[in-house]
Formats: sequence, structure tokens, C-alpha cells
Amino acid sequence: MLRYVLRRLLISAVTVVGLVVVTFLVVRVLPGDAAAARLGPEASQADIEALRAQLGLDDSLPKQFVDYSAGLLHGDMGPAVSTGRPVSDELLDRLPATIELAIAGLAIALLLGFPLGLLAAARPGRLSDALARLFAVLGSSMAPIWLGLLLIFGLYSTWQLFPGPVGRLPIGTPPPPEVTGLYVVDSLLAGNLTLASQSIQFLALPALTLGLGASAAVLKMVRSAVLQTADSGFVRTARAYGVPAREVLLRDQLRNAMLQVLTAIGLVFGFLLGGNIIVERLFNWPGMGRVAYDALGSNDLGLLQGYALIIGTLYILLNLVVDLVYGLIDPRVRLGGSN
Amino acid sequence: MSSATFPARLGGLRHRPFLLVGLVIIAALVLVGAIGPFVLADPAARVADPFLAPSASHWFGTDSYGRDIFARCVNAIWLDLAIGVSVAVLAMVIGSAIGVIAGYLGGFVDDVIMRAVDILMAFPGFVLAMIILVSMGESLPKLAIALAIAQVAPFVRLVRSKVLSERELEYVAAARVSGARWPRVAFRHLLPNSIRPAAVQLTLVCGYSILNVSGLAYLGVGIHPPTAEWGVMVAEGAANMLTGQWWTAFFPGLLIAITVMALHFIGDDLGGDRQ
Amino acid sequence: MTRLAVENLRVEVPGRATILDDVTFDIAPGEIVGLVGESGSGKSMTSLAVMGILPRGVEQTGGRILVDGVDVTAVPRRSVAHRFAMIFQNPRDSLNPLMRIGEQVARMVALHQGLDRKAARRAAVDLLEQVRIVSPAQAARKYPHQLSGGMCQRVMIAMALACRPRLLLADEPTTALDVTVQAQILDLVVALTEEIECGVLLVTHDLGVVAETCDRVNVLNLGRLVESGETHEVLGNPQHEYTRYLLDSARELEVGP
Repeated sequence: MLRYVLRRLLISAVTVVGLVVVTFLVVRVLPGDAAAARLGPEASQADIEALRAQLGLDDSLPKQFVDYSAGLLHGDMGPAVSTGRPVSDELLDRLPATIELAIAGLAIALLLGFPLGLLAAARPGRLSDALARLFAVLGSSMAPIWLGLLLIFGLYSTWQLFPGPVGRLPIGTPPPPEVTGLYVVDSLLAGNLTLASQSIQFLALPALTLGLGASAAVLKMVRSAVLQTADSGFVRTARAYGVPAREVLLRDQLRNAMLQVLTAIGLVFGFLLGGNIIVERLFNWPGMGRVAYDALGSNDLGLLQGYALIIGTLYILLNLVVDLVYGLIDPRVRLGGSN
Repeated sequence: MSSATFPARLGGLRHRPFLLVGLVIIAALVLVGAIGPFVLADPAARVADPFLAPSASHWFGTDSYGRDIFARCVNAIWLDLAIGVSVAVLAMVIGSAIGVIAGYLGGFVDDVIMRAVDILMAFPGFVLAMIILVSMGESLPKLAIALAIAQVAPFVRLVRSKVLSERELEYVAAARVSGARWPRVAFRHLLPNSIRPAAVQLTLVCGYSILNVSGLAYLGVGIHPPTAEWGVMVAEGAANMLTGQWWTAFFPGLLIAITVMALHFIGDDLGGDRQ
Repeated sequence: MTRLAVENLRVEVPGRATILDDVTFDIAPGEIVGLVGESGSGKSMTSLAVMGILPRGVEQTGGRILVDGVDVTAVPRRSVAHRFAMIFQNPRDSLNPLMRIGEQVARMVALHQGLDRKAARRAAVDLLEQVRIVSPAQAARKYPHQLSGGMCQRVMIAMALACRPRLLLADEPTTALDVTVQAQILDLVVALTEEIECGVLLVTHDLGVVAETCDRVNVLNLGRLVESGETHEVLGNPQHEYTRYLLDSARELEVGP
């Protein structure tokens, strides 16, 4: 188990380093001039030169990379050109809002996708399977922005069931005292039930927009992982010995499909993080995606680079956790020493 | 099954309803997209008052400039399909080539390539495409390249794993014994036999790309107004959703959903998911 | 009364292919009957058909399968499941990799003998002892990947015993094992067959295994029975040309070309 953990840690570390290299290369090496892009078409050559010097873009590439990496080690991603504040502050301030939305989206994706995927795999080829798969195809065919608009139009504009797209709380409402930065959790900690229920209502539509699309992916992956175990020897044994189908499904098939299902959850989380920039803009959700959107508008490449780096790192960390959890579940990894 | 002849496969269409529906939808779109622009109103022209609701004369209504939304949607068909197809083909060509090299050469080259693929996959594809596009500067070909790079990784994995199992087979050994160099063996012999799983991925990536274009358009990156493109039209119509003119964003978004759905049907079927 | 009677069994992939055609044989209590043939002859499909777990797309289209005189194709499978047990070629793959050995045996005990969890656990350890596993209590706490192939096959046999079966189907039970382990497992099967008076259908391509263990043997070629009879008669004086061919290939393997 120790070797497994160390190996996973090492692989994750290498991937994070690779991530740093890739974000660096994409922003600094690809054709296109960060300074010119930042200043717009009307900028004078002198202004561009000055900004290039200020950003260190005239240094040699290796030196730029060393400076950049050294900064990262201290948590310094440089200043955001568009706002003047440090990139890390701009983004990390907004991290809790993004995390809250992603967790809520993941919860919806799992609550919908997991049982439906299991239902589909329980009787492949039957009506329940066909309907579940149709749901999956529909869910993954809708553009997130379009789905969000439909939800807003139906559940807010028409039926007024949920609040409109104005952020995390009604305009003017002070947020709960910050502990975790997740409003739902913080207002519960402060004992403020009204605020908690408001937070949940405001969270509902953006989370549903993210979660519905992701649930389709979860459904597909759970279904195919469970179906793959259907042909394995131990499932054949259990069936041959008259173990009830339900127990075979839950105790034999699902448990053995868990590695793939867990991996799927990692992938889906990445999907949620990638989709959040659209949903955060649509619902005026003040998270990192919103910062990235503003950075797009002002051509602030440094800020976008920081955004990609944080998203990528979160994704790698989550997959590390998935791998470690799997190590705990599977005795072949936990106990090692295959005979 | 894979050895079935072509007519036999088409004969099987009746038993493959999903594939049939998918193909019919795509064929209908291609046909309407080919004829439509010659029959319908100019997509850029103001043909009526702004914000007319759907009616017999304007099936999908008119937008904030009084342009006919149906005409714009139909005009966008070929553009959207072209983007989807070119991104998918580009990603497949690049990814398959890299996958063949990794799988055939193995060893150190394989290790480095697969690590790079892991890193590429650590980005949500959408974010990666966005960053690349912003760094390179925008244009239609660059949009296609950025989206393709974001989708290369799964092709590399698929083709590599197929090549790994395929390279041990006799025909590869025969080619090697007859004195062919490795690029010839890899690309002339291995690649054509390893490409089937990639073909399934192709249809899916085609769909993802159409979705990603619409997402990027909403963020103001990639394709811009006044181009008649589904994603751009949804983005333009987004603001009208709250004021009641739902049709401006609804119809182009519906066409995206139908197209991507058809591609999924085809891909799922080709992938052997047939029950 | 016969333990198993297969009458005119017909199995098909509807519209595509006939897998078994008019297969008839029976097994008496305490008797081990071999079913031999090359791969693709339909011998494994026969055991799957008897067990009622044919792969999807393959169907029984004719004939009867009687276990202790009851036609198991005519009644719900669940009600007759307790009459069978089956052991397979790859014992480790046949066990759930995420469950402890003891628990897997205990689950079958609970299912077929109606014992509660604790009693089932104790019974499982007894069964492990009965299949000659040393220190069974310790073995019960292990996972399949910690045991050898031979040990896993013993566990499979223990699970079979838990069902108190009238009929044991053994599909190539020793093919994946070392020669010495093979002999031990076969001895165990022979001893237990006499002890619990079940019938055994031994599916194999290995005529050596048949000669050592089977009372009678059926030879299957392309889905049809070509020869049946007492083992020593069939192997000693084969009537059908296919049987002779099988015997010749077996000898070639032993002596070398």
C-alpha cells in the first residue's frame, strides 16, 4: 500500500509540473504577443515595448520560466495586469464560490446519474435501459448555456419557483460570517436557517445546469462499468449458485465496477470545473470562472494562465484522492502481495 | 460482425433504430443546409420588425435586429457541421499519428508521450481550447486547431492501445521481415487496422466541438456576431430570455441539441452499444 | 433414479447457427460422467444449458433437462437452483476479488441452508476443512488473490458443497492447474462424489483426466454426440472415427511428434 501511495503521489507531482510547463508554454510561446493583446490595436509601439519589459517578456525563455516557477513556489503568480492585484488573490478569493457550485453540481450529477446507470445496467436492452440511455444522450447533447437559459426561462421567468440569476444571495443581503466560504455551510454554522435556505435556492439553478449535463456522463460510465463486470467469472458463479439478481448487482457487479465509477467521478468533476465559466457568467455567480470571464474581456493572459493552473491542479488533486480511495477499497492494492 | 460486407450492414439498419435516426437527422440537416440558403431570406438582412414571435411567415420568429431566425439557423447548418467535422478530423489525424508512434515504438518514447497525454487531460478540454485560442489570437482555422488540440488525448490513448495489441500479430511481423522501415509499417499497416475505435470517438468529438463553439461564443471568444452560427445566436439571444423573447435563443440551441444528439446516436451504435 | 437426464437437447443462436443438436445422456447418483470434445464442440454450452445460464443470444430450442426427475427447463430457475453446483476452469476469476473467502462460502451456506450469518460463517470454515484446506479459519480471512489456483479451486468446491447439490457440473476444473495439483483436485472430487452421492458432469478436453476419474464418457463433435459408453470401452476400443482422432492427438502430445 505504501508503495502504491508513493507512486500515486509521484505521478501527481510530475503531472502538476507538466501542467506548469504547459500553461507557461501556451501563454508565452504560441504566436501572439501578450503585451499587444493586452493594450489593444490602438496601442503605440512604445507602449507595447514598455509593457513587454515590465512583464519580463524580453528575457530569454528559460529565464522567464525559472522566474515564473520560482514565483509559483511562493504562491506568487505575478500581478494581474487588468486589476493590479496579485493573480493568486484574485482567484483564490473566489475559490469557495466555485467549489460550492461544483460540489452541488456533482451531488446532483451523482444522485441522478448513479441510480439511473445502475437501473440501466440491471436489465440491459429493456425499456428501463433504453429510457435511461435516452436521458443520457439528451443530457449530453444540450449546450450548457442553452440548458441554463431554459431553466431560467421556465423555473424563474415563467413559474417563479427559483430566484433569478443574480448571484449567491438576494442583492443587498450580507453573506454569513466566513468560515468555509461555502454560504450554505457558513449560514448553518451561524445558525441562520433563513440565510441557509436562501443560499440553497440561489444555488439550485446553476447547480442543476451543471449537474444535469454531468449526470448524463455519470450514467453512461456507471452503466458501462457495471455491464463490463456482467461477463466476469465471479458474476457467473454467483448467478449459477442462485444468488438473487439484486444482490449480484449490488454486491458483486457494482463493487467491482467501483474503480471505473470512481474514475468517472474524477472526470465529471473536471467537466464541472470546465463548465463553470459559462454557468458562472450566466448566473452572475462570483466564482473563479467569473474572474476568468472578465480576464477574457480585458485580455489578461496572466490571470487566465493562473485560472487554468488552479483548475488543472484541483483536477489532479481530486484524481489523486480517487486513486487513494480506490486503494483502500481494493484488497489487491491494500494488502498487496499477489500470490 | 466486423467482417460483414457493406450491403449486409446497411440491411441491418432496420435492427439499429438509433443509428438509423442519427443518420436520417444528419442527412436531412445536410440537405436543408444545401438548399436553404438559395430559397430563404438573406441571414444578415432586416426582413421585418424586431422580436416578432414565431408565426407562419417567420417560423422561428425574428431577432432584435428584425432578422429571420429560421433563415439564420439554416444558413448556420453547414458552418457548424464543418467546424465539428474539421475539429474531429484534425484531432483524429494528430492523435492517431501520435498514438501509432507511441504504441509502435514503445519504451521511452511511449512513456514521454503518455505522460504528456495525462497532462493534457488534466485540463478540462473547454478551458484548454479557450486559453490556446486567446494566446494564438482568433480566427476560424485557429478556433478549429485550438478545439482539436483539446480533443487529441483520447485519440492517442485509443489508437495506442489498439496498436499495442495489433503489433504482435503476424501481418506486422511479415511486413517487418520483408524489410519495411518502421514508419511504413506503422502508418501503412498498423494505422489502418487500428483506426476503428477512433472512428467512434470521431462522431462524439464532432458533437463536443459544436457544443464547445457555442460555449466559447457565449464568452465572446471564437466566432463573433453578426456571423450566423448557432452558438453565436444562442449567446445573442441569451439576454432576451429574461425579457420574454425566448425564441431568439431557443431555436438555435434546439438545433445544436438535435445535431449533437444525432451524432451521439451514430457514435453509440458504432461503438457497439446496441441494445 | 438418475441425477441428470438430458433428452434430445437442442441449443441454437436463433436464425444463425445450431450449437447442440439432439444431445442425450444421463448420470446416476455417485457417478462421474465425462463430456469430451475439442473446443467449439459444444461441451461447455451443454453445461451452461443444464445450469440455465446460457449467454445472451443463445437459446435452448428443444429437448428436456431432468434433475432428479424434475424438468428444470419447465419450472422457474430460482426454485431449482439449489439442486446444482458448478466449478469452472479459472478458479480465481470465478471468485469475487473484493470479498473474503470465508464470506463467499458463507453466503452460499446462508442462501442454500437458511442459516443466520454467524452459523453460516462457522459452517463455511467446516466446509473449507472438508475440502482439505489447512488452517481453514485463517484461510477464511484471505482474499482470492492471496491464494494459489489450486486453493481457489478447493474454495469453489467448498462453495459447491454448501449448496448440497444433487448435481455437480465441472467445466475444465483442472485445466489451468499444475499437474500435481490437478491430481489432488480430481481425487477430492472423486471422494466427495461418493460421500454426498451427487452426480458429476465433467466437461474436459483432456482424455487423461477422463480415464482417471470418469465412470462413463460421452464424445461430442460439432454439437452432436458421436459415441458414449463405459470409459474403458470407449477409450480402449473406440468405434467412431472422431474418438480415434482425439485419442491419436492425445498420444501425440504425450510422446511428442
